Amino acid sequence: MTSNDDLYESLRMELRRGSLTVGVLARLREERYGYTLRQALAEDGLEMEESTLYPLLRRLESQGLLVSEWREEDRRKKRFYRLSPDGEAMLEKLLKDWRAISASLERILDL
Amino acid sequence: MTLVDEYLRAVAALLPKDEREDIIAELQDMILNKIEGRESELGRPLTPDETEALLREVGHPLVVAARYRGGPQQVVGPALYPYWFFLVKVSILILAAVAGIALLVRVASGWSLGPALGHAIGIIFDGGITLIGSVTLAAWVIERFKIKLPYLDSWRVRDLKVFEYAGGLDLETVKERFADRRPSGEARTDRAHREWMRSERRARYWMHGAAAKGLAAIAWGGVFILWWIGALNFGVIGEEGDLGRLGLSPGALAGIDWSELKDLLFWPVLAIAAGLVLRGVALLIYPRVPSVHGLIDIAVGATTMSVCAWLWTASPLAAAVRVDSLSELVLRTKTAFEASPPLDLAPLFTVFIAVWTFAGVCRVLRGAWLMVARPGSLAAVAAV
Repeated sequence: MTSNDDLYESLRMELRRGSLTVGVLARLREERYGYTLRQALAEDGLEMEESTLYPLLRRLESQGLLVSEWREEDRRKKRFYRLSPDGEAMLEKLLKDWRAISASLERILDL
Repeated sequence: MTLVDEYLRAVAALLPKDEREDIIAELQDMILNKIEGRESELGRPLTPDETEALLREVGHPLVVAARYRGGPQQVVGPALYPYWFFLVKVSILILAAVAGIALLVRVASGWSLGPALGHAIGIIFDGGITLIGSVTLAAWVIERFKIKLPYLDSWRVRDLKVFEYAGGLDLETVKERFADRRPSGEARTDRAHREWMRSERRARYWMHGAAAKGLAAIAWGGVFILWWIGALNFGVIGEEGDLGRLGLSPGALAGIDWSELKDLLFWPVLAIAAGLVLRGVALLIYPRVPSVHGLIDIAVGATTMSVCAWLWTASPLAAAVRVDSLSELVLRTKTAFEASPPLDLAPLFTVFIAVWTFAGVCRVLRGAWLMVARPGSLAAVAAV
């Protein structure tokens, strides 16, 4: 990989980092467990490694933005996550910022 | 035991006990889902090699466990790194200066150049590793325990000159810094000279800003403490050295057991040095709270005075260094510096202890002044 590719990869990762959290929070308006959440995000075009997703879910839960419960499905215990009331409020704020950033970039790119 | 179980046991061993069961259950579900997905794509069960490759995709147990653990994932984070690097750079420069002095003293005291040079390089190498380790440990503690350093958010422009002085330490910058900028020839008018004097005064003022004093106290105090506790070994006068070659004579101090004296002084001196480092830290954290600096000054000054009083009256040195009147002190000071070499160490120690006692008194007085000064007042700023 050339240094230009490396640079692109590092900038792309930087660009994605913040938006992944917003994507996860938004997808968890509806209750899901890790595997189906990852599939849903991938269908939306937001591919995410398990090694990134699962620790992120735990962190968001410890921050009070998600709630979870263990339930049995397909003869296996699974942990289901969904957005908490605090998470809803946080998502609204983040989406407002996201839309503002997006609108700014649109204006800049239209110039 | 299956490969997955073996993998999960390795991850579990690296996780905090209270969360282990929960995380492993979720991780197991994720891995089994992944295996099922892959098997349904292939239409057959995975071979052991394929399972192992899939587990490698999940990540090495050390990496996976680290992602689940709270706390920072780096020893020195990006916010702290520039400060870490600056302190390492300044500490190494101080160490190089000490090694240079040690080299000169060793050569002057009878060492041949080769071993003396080897010793100096050893000081820089061993000391450098110890210093970098100490600064890194301090940074790790700050990162790990999320210690907030207000200086990082509330630094003042007046304190930044120290970075200009210490940051660009290359040959050209040093030459430029020490170049004589006094106006010369036709340009040397009274006005130009006054302007030059003003700029020099301003530079000195900046150099004595709170951050400069704080960083200097931390760096010098840190190097001293590491030397005092034996982590750094400068060994200025080694076995091959000879006080006589340095123009010194032990005189009345010939029978002193220096290692016993150091044992007796170990904790008090360590406390004084730690107090000076603490004052440096306080200058960075609370630059505008004079009472904090005042309290530390009083404690350090009082400890210094106590140590000096003990040296003067009750230590193994007392009989050789003590004088009972001011006139005797003046006489001994004259003796110390007017005698022809070799100089007697005892009067030199008398002067040394007297100077430190005076410094201790001044520090206590300054501390008391800072305790009563109004925060932010000119008096407080000048005394800090």
